[in-house]
Amino acid sequence: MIARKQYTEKEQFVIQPAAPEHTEAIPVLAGLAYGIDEELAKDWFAPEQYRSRIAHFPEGQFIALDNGQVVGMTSSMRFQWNGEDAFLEDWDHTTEYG
Amino acid sequence: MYGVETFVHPEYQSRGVGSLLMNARFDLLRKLNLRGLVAGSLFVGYDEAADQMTPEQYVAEVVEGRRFDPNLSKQLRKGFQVRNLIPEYTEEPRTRNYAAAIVWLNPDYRPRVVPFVQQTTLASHKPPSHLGSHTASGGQGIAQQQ
Repeated sequence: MIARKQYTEKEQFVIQPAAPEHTEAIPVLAGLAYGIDEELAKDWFAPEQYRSRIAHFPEGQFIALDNGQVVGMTSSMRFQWNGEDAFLEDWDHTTEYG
Repeated sequence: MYGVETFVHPEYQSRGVGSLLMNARFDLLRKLNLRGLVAGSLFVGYDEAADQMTPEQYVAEVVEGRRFDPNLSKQLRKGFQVRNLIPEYTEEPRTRNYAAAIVWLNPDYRPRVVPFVQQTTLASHKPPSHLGSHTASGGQGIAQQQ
């Protein structure tokens, strides 16, 4: 019964490429996900940052929608790493501060 | 490809949203024929164990399945492997600023093979007399691109 309920819930989620109009919802979502206040979230997760990522690598930005509401997001970037050495770069340097 | 970040609304966590978002990333790696995905996993459950063990010990226990971590355990279930720990990865008190470098390799990745332009046809021609006996040399080999 539980598995059936989870399956039904998954069915209503839509995963699609992020568009500029979704970026205003991201600071609110990030604030809730990380438990930080709205003003700090607007600074750390500014919509301009996500619009820039969409402009640079649109295929790598996805959002999850539930009835049109943004409930999740994931962001990726193209990146060169040989896959053999240890990966030791911090987040700021790898992403050039976002 | 590098996983910059993923987050899900608290009311939707543990309902499969993160897994669906990760599947979208995996599909993209296949579509673009990229080698894989590396990311820094914030093993936030360490906060409750930090006075008992080092980050290395905690991650080892999560990898062995003896502990559940809200982030790392789910990523391991999706097929990621821990490569190493990253000290001072980002400001995150719950992990003491550590992250685990996690890697997912695209099983369908095929290195693209690009042959160099071969110039052997030039070498078969007799050069003009004023160039003496010099002949063009042929280049042969392969280059691999990501």
